[in-house]
Amino acid sequence: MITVKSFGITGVNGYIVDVEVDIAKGLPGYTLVGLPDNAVKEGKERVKSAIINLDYKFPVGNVVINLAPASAKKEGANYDLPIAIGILANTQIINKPMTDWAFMGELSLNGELRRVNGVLPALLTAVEHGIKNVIIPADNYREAAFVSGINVYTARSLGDVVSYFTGDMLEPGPLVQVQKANFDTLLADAVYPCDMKYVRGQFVAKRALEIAAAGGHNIILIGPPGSGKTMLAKCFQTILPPMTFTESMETTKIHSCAGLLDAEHGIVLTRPFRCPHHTASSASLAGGGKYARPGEISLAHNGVLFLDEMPEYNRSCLELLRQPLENHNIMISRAAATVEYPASFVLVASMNPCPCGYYGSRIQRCKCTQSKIQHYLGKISGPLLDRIDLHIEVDQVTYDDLTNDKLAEDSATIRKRVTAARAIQNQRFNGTEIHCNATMDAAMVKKYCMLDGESEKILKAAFENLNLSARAYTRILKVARTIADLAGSEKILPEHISEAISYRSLDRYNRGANE
Amino acid sequence: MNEIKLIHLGDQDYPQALLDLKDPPKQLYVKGNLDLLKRPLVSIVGTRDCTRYGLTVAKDLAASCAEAGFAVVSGLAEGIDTAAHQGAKENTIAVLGNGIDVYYPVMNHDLQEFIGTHGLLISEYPPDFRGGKTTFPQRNRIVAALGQAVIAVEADLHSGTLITIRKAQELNRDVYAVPGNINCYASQGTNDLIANHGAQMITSTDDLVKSLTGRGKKSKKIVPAKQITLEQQNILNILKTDEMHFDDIVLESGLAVPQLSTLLTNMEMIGLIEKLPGNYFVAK
Repeated sequence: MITVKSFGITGVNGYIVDVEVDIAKGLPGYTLVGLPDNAVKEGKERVKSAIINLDYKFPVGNVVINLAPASAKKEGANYDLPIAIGILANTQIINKPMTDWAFMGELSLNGELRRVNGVLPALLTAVEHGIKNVIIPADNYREAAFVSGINVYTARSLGDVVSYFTGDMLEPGPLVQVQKANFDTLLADAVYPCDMKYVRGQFVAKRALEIAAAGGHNIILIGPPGSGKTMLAKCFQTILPPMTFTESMETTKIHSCAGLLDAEHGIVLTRPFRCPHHTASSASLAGGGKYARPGEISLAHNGVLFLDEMPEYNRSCLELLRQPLENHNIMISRAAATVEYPASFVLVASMNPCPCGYYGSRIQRCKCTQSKIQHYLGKISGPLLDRIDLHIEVDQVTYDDLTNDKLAEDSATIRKRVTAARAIQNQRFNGTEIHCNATMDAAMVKKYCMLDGESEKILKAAFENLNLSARAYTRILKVARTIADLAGSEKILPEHISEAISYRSLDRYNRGANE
Repeated sequence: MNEIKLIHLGDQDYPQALLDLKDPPKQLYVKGNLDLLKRPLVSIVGTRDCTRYGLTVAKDLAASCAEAGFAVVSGLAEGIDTAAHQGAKENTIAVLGNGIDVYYPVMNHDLQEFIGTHGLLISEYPPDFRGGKTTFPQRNRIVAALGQAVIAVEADLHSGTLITIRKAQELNRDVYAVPGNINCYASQGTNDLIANHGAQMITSTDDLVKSLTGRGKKSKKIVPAKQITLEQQNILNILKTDEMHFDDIVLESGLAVPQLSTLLTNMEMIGLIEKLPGNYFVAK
């Protein structure tokens, strides 16, 4: 019996799978056990064809393949390569010891290797378990370029792998050893698909997005159709601070499991921007499925989750956001598995001010009754609204704004200010679990958002005169803290409080109806 | 908490003004301050689908009528009715098209409760009657009859408000209408009343009170001058002609966004300007 190592994935973490291949005497048979799913099971046929097409002999006898641990469900096609290696080792075509080696890869019928999902988490597991060498498909090259403490080789085909093991194994030969890449140089070349400089007008919305980016605050944009909410939201990712290596690895792991990495980059360099459609199901948002896959909110980890036309989403979908918005992860329990996915994202939502979209607009007349508007706004529950710090109203840009030749500030300039503000926060929260103002708990708000007498007076006056609801209080303090950080001020000054108050329009909408 | 009382046609408390109707209600359920019925009454009516202009005017007119000793009658519907009740504070009578224990429209729940406690609720229907298609127009005849004068604030050409006004004219009540922008749907009905149907035009709140009471308004309240900074005055000048979007104020004033946000919030809090839905601002 021969044992070859490979990897399985639960959630976003890998574990070692021992692929045991045994050829017993007796009637010819070919069995695969160890809780394989269909893709794994069908792999044995691919393996057989690949071996035969490479002109090796497929063993005659009862071939039994076991994937251990037998209790964990195995998914995906990445066991093709280890199974093939195991069979070839059994037939003495390969006769080198393989305790230091692990394999993953999908085979084509003629023996070529195809890319597989979950390479990054698998390699990290290999490092943990002290495996020295891993062979992966050539298309997964870039994904491996950031894992240190291990030799990773890529191969184009099963033939490459076999000829390496039948050779002297001193030179990589047909294999290619993965070279470590420099994260910072790659990061500098990261390209975003859009830029704030192309967004005309919308001064207040841009300012609010800058604050949201600087403090990690969730934000909702309210405005009529065609007012540029979606464009603003898309540009939001471009003003967030650049990804750190750890963040990039976390996000890459998730994207790797979901099979979303492209071969060119291999790792995630720009903060993800996920915009699930409003018909999305709870499972697609939160993650899940029969054996659990990361959902949209996890794919948005360390980036932006954009919910366009938020009230149109299912109530249950919106409510499930509450836990991740609070804990920054989500626990998915299914019959087959319970997994935890990280989900730390900034929520950017957009909505119309009323069902027809034109309430408060100067361009078209709103046809909605007050009760309809209340019903529409009521679709976003109080507890969820509680977690959104900034409310911004946007209106259509005027013709003058559109034709104004002057380009606005570009994303890089704004990003610089945001990064500076984040640096202040990193210092403030050094040694704690949180990174930005938005996630401060009650004790921290008390400690870091001290108000002087003047600011206190303004806040009090705001509650008395502006119909603010009580839930606005902490939100305003946190946002004011971020505004002060952007201004480089250690204290929260009266003007910071005043500005923060101006970003709470939805509270006033709700209350204003009965005024 | 006030109890619901029942007044029959012919009772002492029964409002005499209703006897002008061909079909005066046989009984009235009432809740609240019955003394309001002894005051001179003015009815303020208008469309539910109103504009901000209508809301402001209805509120102001109701407030000055209340100040001049009138009680303001309206129908507790959304829009103009709601604004009129709010403007008159406790000096208001709401005539319902449903039973007094039924809260309709739901958004006026608190207002209905307030009027039931401090003002007066009237309905010709039993307390738990839910109202129907015909009962609200029926209630309008009571609104038209109760007031010695009836004021239409905003109405489009097909508004039910015009029916109330016609009823009031049949009953020989003084009819007033608030003129408005000729391009605005909500003023077309009221402008038409002035031009073609003999409604008196209201040109100011003082004008109305003078016309209703036959005497001028007492001296105006002296509003203490607010301390206005140069910056604030600058913004007020910009907002002099029309309401403006935040972004346009940025362009006009040349101020940076954070500064302007701060400034506008402060001005709003001391009541110099008002923030409207859609991030528009207007001078008060």
